Amino acid sequence: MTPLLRVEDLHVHFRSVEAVAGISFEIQKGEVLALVGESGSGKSASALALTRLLPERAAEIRGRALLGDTDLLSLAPRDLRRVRGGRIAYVFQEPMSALHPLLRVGRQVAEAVRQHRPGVPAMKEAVRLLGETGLPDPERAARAWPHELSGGMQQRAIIAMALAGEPDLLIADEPTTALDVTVQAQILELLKTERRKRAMAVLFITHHMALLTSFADRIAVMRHGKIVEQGPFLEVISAPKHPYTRGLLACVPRLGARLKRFPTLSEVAP
Amino acid sequence: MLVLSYLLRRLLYLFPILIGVNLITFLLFFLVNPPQDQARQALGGRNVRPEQIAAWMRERGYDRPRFWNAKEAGLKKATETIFFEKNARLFLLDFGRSDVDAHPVRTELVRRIGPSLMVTLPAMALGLLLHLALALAFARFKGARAERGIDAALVALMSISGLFYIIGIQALLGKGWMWIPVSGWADGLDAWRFVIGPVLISLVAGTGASVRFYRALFEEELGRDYVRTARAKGLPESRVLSLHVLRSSLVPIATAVVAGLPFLVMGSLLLESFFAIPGLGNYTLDALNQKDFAIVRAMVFFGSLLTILGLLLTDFAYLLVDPRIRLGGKKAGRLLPVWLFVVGATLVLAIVGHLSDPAIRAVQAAAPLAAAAPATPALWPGNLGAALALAALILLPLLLMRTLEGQRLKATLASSRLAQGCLAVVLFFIAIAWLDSVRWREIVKDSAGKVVLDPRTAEPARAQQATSLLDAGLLSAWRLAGAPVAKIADLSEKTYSAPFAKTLFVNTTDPSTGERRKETLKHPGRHPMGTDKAGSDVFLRAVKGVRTAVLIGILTTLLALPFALLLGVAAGWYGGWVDDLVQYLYTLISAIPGVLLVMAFVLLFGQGLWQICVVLGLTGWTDLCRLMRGETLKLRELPFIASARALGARDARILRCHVIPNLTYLVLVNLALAFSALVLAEATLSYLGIGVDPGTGSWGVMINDARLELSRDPVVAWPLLAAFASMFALLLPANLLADQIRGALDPKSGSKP
Repeated sequence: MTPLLRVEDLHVHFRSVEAVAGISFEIQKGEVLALVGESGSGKSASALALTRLLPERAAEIRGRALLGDTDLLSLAPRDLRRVRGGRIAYVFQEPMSALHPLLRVGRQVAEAVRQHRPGVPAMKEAVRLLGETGLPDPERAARAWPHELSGGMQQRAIIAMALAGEPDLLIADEPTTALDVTVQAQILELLKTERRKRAMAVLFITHHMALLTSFADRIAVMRHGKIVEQGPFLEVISAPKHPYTRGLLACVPRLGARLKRFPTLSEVAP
Repeated sequence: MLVLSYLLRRLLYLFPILIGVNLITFLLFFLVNPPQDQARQALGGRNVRPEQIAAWMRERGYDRPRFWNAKEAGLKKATETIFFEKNARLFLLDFGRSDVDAHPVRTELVRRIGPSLMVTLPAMALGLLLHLALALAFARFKGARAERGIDAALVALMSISGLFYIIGIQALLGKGWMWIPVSGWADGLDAWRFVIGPVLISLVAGTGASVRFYRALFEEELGRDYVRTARAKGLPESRVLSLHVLRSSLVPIATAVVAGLPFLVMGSLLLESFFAIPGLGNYTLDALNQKDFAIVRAMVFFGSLLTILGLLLTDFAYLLVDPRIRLGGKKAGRLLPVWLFVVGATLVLAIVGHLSDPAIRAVQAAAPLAAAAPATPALWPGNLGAALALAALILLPLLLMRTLEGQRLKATLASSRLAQGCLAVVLFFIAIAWLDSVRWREIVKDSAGKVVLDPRTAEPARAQQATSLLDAGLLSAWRLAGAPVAKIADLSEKTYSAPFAKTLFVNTTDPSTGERRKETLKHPGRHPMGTDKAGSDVFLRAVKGVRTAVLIGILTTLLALPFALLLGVAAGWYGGWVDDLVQYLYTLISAIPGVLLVMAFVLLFGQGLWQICVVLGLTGWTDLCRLMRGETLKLRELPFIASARALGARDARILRCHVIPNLTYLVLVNLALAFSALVLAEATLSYLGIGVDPGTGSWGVMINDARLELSRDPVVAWPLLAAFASMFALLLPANLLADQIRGALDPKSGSKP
C-alpha cells in the first residue's frame, strides 16, 4: 500500500545549525505516528519543513517528502497552498498566539473553509465545525474574539480551523503542552474522535510519550536531529532497543515506584 | 454610558495638563522675562526711556499687576490682573490682540488654518498610503540580499536634511523645469497648483524614516504565530499581508497618525516659509521675527490644546481598532495627586508673582538692562561642553562593558566592518568638534610684534574672537600650502569665488579704462570649496559647523540624562504618587509642540548653543524619562532584584548596582538614535533663525545664507552643497552606526544578519 506521506532523508539547516540531520519515515492513511523527543531534537522543524512553513530565507531544506506521488519540497507556491490546509493541516502549541487577536474566531475558521471548499456557505460551516469540536454555544463562539475564550476553547477553535479543509494528515505540534491536565485529556479525546470519524492520519509531536498510549499506532524517537528508533508504539514502549529510548522511558515518573533520586537523561543515555 | 464616564475621567486627567501648560506659559512669558523686558526688546534695545516702556505696556494691558490687584474692588481684584486677562482667557480661546499691530489673534488664526490644512492633509493622507505600500513591499525582502541595498537607500534618504529636499525640489521643479509655481497662493480651490510642490516634498522627505518605521512594524508582525497559522491554512501571501499583517499593525499606525494632529493644523514652518503659503506656520514665524509675544503665547497654548486632543483621540482610536482594550482600567490615571500638584503650583506661582512685582520693579529702576551683546564666544562653556561630552563618551562604554549587552555590542562591532567604518567616521567628527572646543583668546600684537596693553586694565589685551586648536591646525595647513596667513580672518577674500579658482566671481570695471576684468584672489587656488558672499572660505565654515552639530547631537541627550534618570527611575521604582507626578510632568512637557517651545525659549532667552541644548534637551527629556520608567518597571519584577533584596541589600544599593547599569544600554541606544534627529533639528532651527546665534558656525546658518544665492546667474551652489555634504557625511555613518548599536543592544530585535 502506498503510504500517505513518505519522508526520505530530510535535512533542515538553519545557517550554521543542522536542526534535522537526515530523517526518513512513513505515515500510512489513517495512521497515527507519534514523534517524540526532547526540546531541540528537531521535531517541530521537521514538521514545519514538510509544507515549507519555516522562515523562507533562514532555513535550507533538502530531501524528499512525498505526499502520494508529489514531492512537497519542490512544489510551486500555488500548488503548495492547496496542500496547506487542504491535505495537510496544523495544530500548534500556543493557542492564544496562533489565533489572530484582532479577527473574530468564526471569521478565521470561515477563511479556511472558503480557501479549500469554495461553494460551501463558509460561516455556517464554521459554526458547525466549532460545534463539532466541542465548543458550547458555537454561534456565540464564532462571534467572539480570541481573547474571550479560554485556552482549551481556543485550541478547539484551532482544531476546527484545521479540520475545515478536510485534510488527510493532521500535524499536531505539542497541542496540549500549554493546557492544564484535564483540558489536555479532553483535547486528546477530541483528536481521537475526529481521527476516527474522518479516517485522518495524525502526526503527533510531543515530549510526553505516555500521553499517546491508546492513540498512537507507531512511534519515532528523535534525538539531535536524527531518528534513533521507530516502530509500532506498544513494541517500542515495552521493549525499547536504543539506549536513548530506554533513557527517555526511564525518566517518566511511575506511580508507586520508590526511588532515591530521579534518573536524568545524561546518566542513563550519555 | 460607559463611554461618557470614561470620556469624563479622561478629560479630568487631561485638563490639569492644559492648566500646566498655561502655568508654564505664564512662568516663561511673565515671570522669567517680564513685560518690561519685552517692551525694551520690542522698542529697540538700549536707549529706551521708562516713559516709552510704560506707554507700550499700558497700550497692551501689561501694566497691570500680575496676580492680585489691590487697587480695584471686589471681583476685579482678581480679574484686573495679567494672569486673568492674558493667561486665564486662553481657556476661553480668547487669544487677545497682537502686540505689534493689535489685530485680533483668533480671527487671523481661524483664517489661516485653511491654507495650512490644504497642504498638510493631502501630504499626510498620500504619505500614509505611499509609505505603507512601500513598507509592505519591502517587508517581504527580509533576509534577502536586496534588503541590504534597500536598507542603505532608506538610511541615506533619512540622513538628508529636509531643507535639501525643499531647496532641491523647489529649484528643480520650480525654477528649472517650471512644472510648479515657485511660491505663492490663490484663494479657494485654485490653490491646488501651489499645493503640489509642498505635498511632493513632504512625501519624499518623509519616506526614509516612515518606511523604515512601518517596515519594522510589518517585519515584527510577519514573525508572529498567527501569521504562520494563516499561511498553514493555505492563504495566499497577498491576503496574509493585506489582512492579517496590516490589521494587527493598525494600533501603532493609528497612534503615529493621531500624534501628527498638531502638525496637521499648525502647518509646516519650513514648507510655508519656502513656498509663501499663508498658513499658521508662517504666522508663527512672522510673529517670532517681529517679537510678537502675544501671538507666540497663543500658538503655544493652541498647539498644546491640539496635542491633548490628539491624546484623547488616540484613546478612542485604540478602542476602535483593538478589541482587547477595555475602557477604564488604569489608563484613566489617579486624579488626586495631579490636581493637588496643579493647584499647589498655581498658588506658588501666584505668591512668587505677586511678591516679585515690587522686587522686579526695584531692580529695573536701579540697573539698566544689558542689551543682548554680540556673543563673544566665552571660553569656559565651550571647553566645559567639550569636556563633558568627552567624559561621557568615555564613561558610558566603560559602564556598558560591565553588562551583558555591552559584550554583545563589542561582538557586533568587532565582526562588522561597516560598523567599524561608521564608528571611525563618527569619532573623526567628534575629534574635530573637540579640537574646535579647546579655545583661548590670543594676545593681541601690533604690526611691530609688540604686545598691546588693554587701556582699562593695563594687562595684555586679548582678541575678541577666540581661537581654537582646530583653527590653529587649519592655519598651519594653509601656511604650508603657501598662503601667508596669521589669523583666521586673513583667510577671507572679498566676495564669491568658485572652488579652487584664481579669480573672484564678480567682474570689476576698471574705473579709468572702463575695462571689465576679474580680480584675482588674495589666496588663489587655496579654497577647496570656494568662498561665499562675504568672502569666507566655505570649507572653513563647513568645518566650523561640526562642533555645533556634534555638541548639540550629544550634549543635549547628556544634559537631559541626569533628570530623566532621576525622575524615571524614581517613578518606576517607587510607583504611587511619585509615578503619577512624573507621568504628569512628562505628559505636560510633551504636550507643548517642540518647535514652539524652542521658539518661546529663544524669544525669551536669546539664541545660543547652550540655549538650544537646554530646550532641545527638555523636549528630549520626555522620551528618555518614559524609557527609563518603563524599563525600571520591568526590572523591578525580575527575580534577581528580589534575590538582592532577600540578601538584605538596601534600595539605594540595588538601584546603584543592579538597576542603573542595566539601563545603560537604553541610554546608548537613545543617544545613538537621537543624534541625527538633533543635528537635523539644529540645522532647521538655525535656518529658521531660532537656532544658534549667527556668529557661531552652523550648517543651518550656512544654508540660510546660501539659499538666496540659487537665483543668481551663474548659480552659486557650492556653499549650499558644502553644508549638505558635511551633514550627510556625518549623519549617514551615524545612522548606520545607530542601527548597528540598536540591533546589538535591543534584546527584542534579535541578532542581525
